[in-house]
Amino acid sequence: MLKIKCPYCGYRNESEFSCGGEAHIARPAVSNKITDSAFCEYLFMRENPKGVFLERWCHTSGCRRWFNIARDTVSHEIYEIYLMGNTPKTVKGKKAYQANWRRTSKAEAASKTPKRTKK
Amino acid sequence: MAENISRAAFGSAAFEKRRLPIIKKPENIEVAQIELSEILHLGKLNIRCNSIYRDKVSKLIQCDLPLEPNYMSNKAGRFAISLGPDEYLILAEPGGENQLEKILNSSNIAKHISVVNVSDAFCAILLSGKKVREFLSKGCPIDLDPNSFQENQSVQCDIALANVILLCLEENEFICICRTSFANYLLDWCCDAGQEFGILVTKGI
Ligand SMILES: [Zn+2]
Repeated sequence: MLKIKCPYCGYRNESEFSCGGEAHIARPAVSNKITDSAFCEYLFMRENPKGVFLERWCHTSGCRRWFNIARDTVSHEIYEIYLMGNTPKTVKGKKAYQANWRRTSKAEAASKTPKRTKK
Repeated sequence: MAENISRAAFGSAAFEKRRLPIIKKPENIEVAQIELSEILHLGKLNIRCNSIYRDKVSKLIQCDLPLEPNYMSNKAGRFAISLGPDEYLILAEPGGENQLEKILNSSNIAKHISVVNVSDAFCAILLSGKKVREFLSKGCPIDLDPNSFQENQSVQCDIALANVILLCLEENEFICICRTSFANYLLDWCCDAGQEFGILVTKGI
């Protein structure tokens, strides 16, 4: 069993947590302006790496807060635990974040709020 | 006023259907080493507030909200338990939760905080006896050693399959707060797990 360090409660058993899948999936802000296939990428496509994976986890049986984990899917080693809304700080975490195909996807580009243009 | 007091459904579901007291013990033990009873009508308030309002809330309820999760503070019989970075549970005497709810909802920070009366959603059980830590450890993965789980500490965890909040009052005295719907299950588990130490379930006060 993994021992996961909840940012609020400290080390607890893996059985107290639930995994919420891939982290850093941003919803397109203007979903009616992007194509169906781009929206499909956001909605259905998930990374499935052999190596470092950035995931969302929730401390279900404890404080019920969500946070992110950078975990190796082969060795289960946890490289980093960081709060929601942040991006990874470790070298391995940063690399995994940058290497994800999603960074260059149309859906992610559409998730950034469009800049207001002066009339 | 009577209708404002929590009916603490724990009793109705788990305790009222059973004939109390329940005593379960092996023959070689004379006195039950675990005592269990319900704390009836305990008022419970769930408060969500950002840390910048923490001091104001503390002042209004006259009990300091703990700074760290998994700690509690108590003052004049009222408890403030930290459930997360911005979530708290207040335990008050029967009817006291309504008074606190009114105070908080009529204050000038009312629109920045959330106050929910959860008295009937949760039930509170008082557990005591010299074997109580050993007994709880049978179903709880948390380290309950007296050196690591001390007075004024609280923990949210699972006992067997029920999600609970455990509060340490004294070395051998705990309050266990669980969902009302899990009370029956938890009571069954306690009777089974406590049998080897001798367990006495009495009517709550
Ligand atoms: Zn936690």
